[in-house]
Amino acid sequence: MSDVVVDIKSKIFNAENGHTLPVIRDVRFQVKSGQFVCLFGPSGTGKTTMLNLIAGIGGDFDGRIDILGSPTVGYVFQEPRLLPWLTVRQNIALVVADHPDLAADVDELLRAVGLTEFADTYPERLSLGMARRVAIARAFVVKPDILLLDEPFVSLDAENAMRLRKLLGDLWTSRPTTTLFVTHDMRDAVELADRILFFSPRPARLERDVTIALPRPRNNVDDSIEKLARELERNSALPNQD
Amino acid sequence: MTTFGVRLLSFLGLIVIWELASTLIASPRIFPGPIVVATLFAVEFQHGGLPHHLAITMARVLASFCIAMSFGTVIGLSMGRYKLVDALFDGWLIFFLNLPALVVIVLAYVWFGLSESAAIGAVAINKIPSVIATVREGTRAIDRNLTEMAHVYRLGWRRTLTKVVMPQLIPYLLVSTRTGLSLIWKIVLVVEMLGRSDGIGFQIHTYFQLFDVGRILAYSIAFIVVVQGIEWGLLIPIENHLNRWRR
Repeated sequence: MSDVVVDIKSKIFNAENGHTLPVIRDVRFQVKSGQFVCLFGPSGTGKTTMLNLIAGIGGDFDGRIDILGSPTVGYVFQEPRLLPWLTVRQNIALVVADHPDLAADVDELLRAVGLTEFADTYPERLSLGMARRVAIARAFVVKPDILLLDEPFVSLDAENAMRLRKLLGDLWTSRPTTTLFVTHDMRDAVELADRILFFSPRPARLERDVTIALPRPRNNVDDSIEKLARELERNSALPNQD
Repeated sequence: MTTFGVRLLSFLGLIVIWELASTLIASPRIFPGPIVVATLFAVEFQHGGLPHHLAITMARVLASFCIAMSFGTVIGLSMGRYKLVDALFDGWLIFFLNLPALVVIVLAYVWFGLSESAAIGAVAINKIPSVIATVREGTRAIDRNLTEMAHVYRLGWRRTLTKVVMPQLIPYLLVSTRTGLSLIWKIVLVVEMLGRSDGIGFQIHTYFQLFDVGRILAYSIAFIVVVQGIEWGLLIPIENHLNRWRR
């Protein structure tokens, strides 16, 4: 686990027609080791770009991202990005093929995400929710120093999204790690995060930094999650105060 | 009716049309029917040189094919992957794609003598450009999402190549294999006719001078049967195995 320091002065996309599109401007924040942080904001604000920059696949930018050492990254992309020619188990085992000590964990994680009986199935035969679970297992199996999740519940129906959210919460509790989670669903953010960073529309700027102090585990026994989510949503709809 | 039944019927139909055309329209000397050709085939197979010449031609086809596929794949991969390499060699590719096979063969024999390596090299050079063009297309179609995934999870170049890149190129390589085998065997015959003293091309040339159409057909069909066998016995099973993950 490591502290992550993000200091992006500007990130610009070069569009096909020669125009440039500023996506991120002056975003500075720090994530403490072991913290679960949500990046919250309207779609198209460059939240995914931030994750890509942290993962080292975001290309050139002005600024710096400091992570102690050479961290292992687990990344749950928005689309599951599984290799269709490998079975579920092979997909997970592939990323730890050089680490025999971690390979033993593959079956354990398959069980944790409830896919033991689909271990030898090819991804094209899985539903989106199941494929996402494989992607989550793959991200955890590398024992990541930093876990990046890009809207892992998007385009799932409410029930599947809820099950997956609970699964992720349980996994994270049993295998805690520094986590950055992109979402535009406030309920996801409040239920899972220690801290929520609110971003403006493009070019993304950090607008608010809210700590969520609700005790864990955050199961659905009372409506404190709902209440807080609604309150934060109302506030974020207000015009910028500064 | 099953697909197999349709295939069998269509095959038998071809034989019948051949027999009718041979007896009704042309004279059997100019265009012998399937029965005559089959008999000649059996005679050549048992007492003549057919197995020997077939084996020689097959060996040449195989050698040229392997050379063309390996060079073509490596060059095509780098041209598809790196814009600079593509810009450097795109013009050359067009040049070699349009260079007539006959010119390459004649020049190879003139420059390197009537040798086995000149023959095989000339055939390979004829095939390499089309492998490059196909593999380059396949490389351009590679899913960047998966390449990024491989990078994030530090799969390393070897595993990225074998588990991420190559599986995406397989359809293109299979197309190249099929078109390659048929193209190469046709060129091999020309090479054998012009500068070798064995192989099916050489035999066909000999029987052309003797005006023995029956034996020309017997030799051609022997090779077609072998290629069909490769298709059914090797390519289709490999393809099915590699595509088992598809829905």
